[in-house]
Amino acid sequence: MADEVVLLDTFFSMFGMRARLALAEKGIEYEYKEENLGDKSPVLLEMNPVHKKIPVLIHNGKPVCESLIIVQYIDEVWKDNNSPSLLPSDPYQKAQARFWADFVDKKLYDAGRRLCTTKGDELETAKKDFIEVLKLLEAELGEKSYFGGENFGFGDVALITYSNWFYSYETCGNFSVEEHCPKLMEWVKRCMEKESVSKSLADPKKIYDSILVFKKKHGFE
Amino acid sequence: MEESKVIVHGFWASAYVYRVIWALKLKGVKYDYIEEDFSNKSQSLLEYNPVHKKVPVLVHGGRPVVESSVILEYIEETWSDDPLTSLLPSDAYERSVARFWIDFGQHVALGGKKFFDGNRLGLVDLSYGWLAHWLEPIQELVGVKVLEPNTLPRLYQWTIDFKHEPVIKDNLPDSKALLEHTTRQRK
Repeated sequence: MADEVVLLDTFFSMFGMRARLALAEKGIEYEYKEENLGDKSPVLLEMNPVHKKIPVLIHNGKPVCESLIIVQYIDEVWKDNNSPSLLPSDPYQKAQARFWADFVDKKLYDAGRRLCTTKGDELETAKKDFIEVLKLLEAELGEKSYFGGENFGFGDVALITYSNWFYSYETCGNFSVEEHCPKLMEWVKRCMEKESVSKSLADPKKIYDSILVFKKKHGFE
Repeated sequence: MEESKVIVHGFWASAYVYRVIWALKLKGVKYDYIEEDFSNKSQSLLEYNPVHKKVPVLVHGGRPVVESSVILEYIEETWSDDPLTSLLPSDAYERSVARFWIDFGQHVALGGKKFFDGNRLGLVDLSYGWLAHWLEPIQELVGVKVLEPNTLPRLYQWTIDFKHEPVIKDNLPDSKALLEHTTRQRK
């Protein structure tokens, strides 16, 4: 029986990109459905009644929600198809990968959101927080090629999808990520050389345009 | 590696710490416990968890694992020889559903089952353990009873069944002490 895989997503979502990236890494064919968040489809509301959010992976009619849970699911279901594993097999290494992915979501998203929606002192605090988080991540990366070590893995998937948002954060906050975290930017370039990454991420300028629309709509200017 | 020393850095009133204790006990894993004083955190804690500086921290064979949900998955994967003590479903889809509820932290979907994964305690139940015991002092302080047999019958029954399980019953902080602690925290 052929697998039926559908992804409900929006092009600029760093969470949706993680699902796209995992599917690309594992070589899985799927149908992509772009959601309009201002007018959510009945399918989305039915498949994620609790959060009503994207991404939602629908595998043979059954929904999987939350981007990191989706990535783990993809890694587990298609583990025997000769594609690279995203999570290490060793429980301790797995715990490390999960910790950093959790850290990215707890700290980076909030600081980034504040960068795009605040002004004055609040904006300066957001900038400081954001750079601090990136510096911690850069320290964790150290001299490794990827957060997963020699190979691209779960921690890399969790963070790389924020990289195409850097342009927006930098523009809103008037700073340069490269200036503060040059090694991290090297890691970004390294990841972008992978086809699965470059085709899963969105155009940074298009993301910025969608933020401008959002800001105008919600009065964040 | 499973035989290496296990240490838990915890705080007696933390529901997150208890999740880890319950999981270790359910797996039959022996561990040493170190109580942390938040006004004077141990050097070990700061070294093991420099990012968040919080409990619980599980140290296994000298290597730290932090964040309770990450620790729970680590425990489940490391001590996995006995299927009778597995705390997550074996099916990938069912596992993704369990992880969703562990992550969610507020909503409940027990249906007609005794525990979240059927008739046995699992990680999802442990994640909601705070409802069974830690909600009580809060309800008392605030003067509002949310979790009652007539308001949320299935969830209320779950808290009874949950606290009836030997591993849980024998491993709960003293109710009176917890009420005092919760009262102090709210001042």
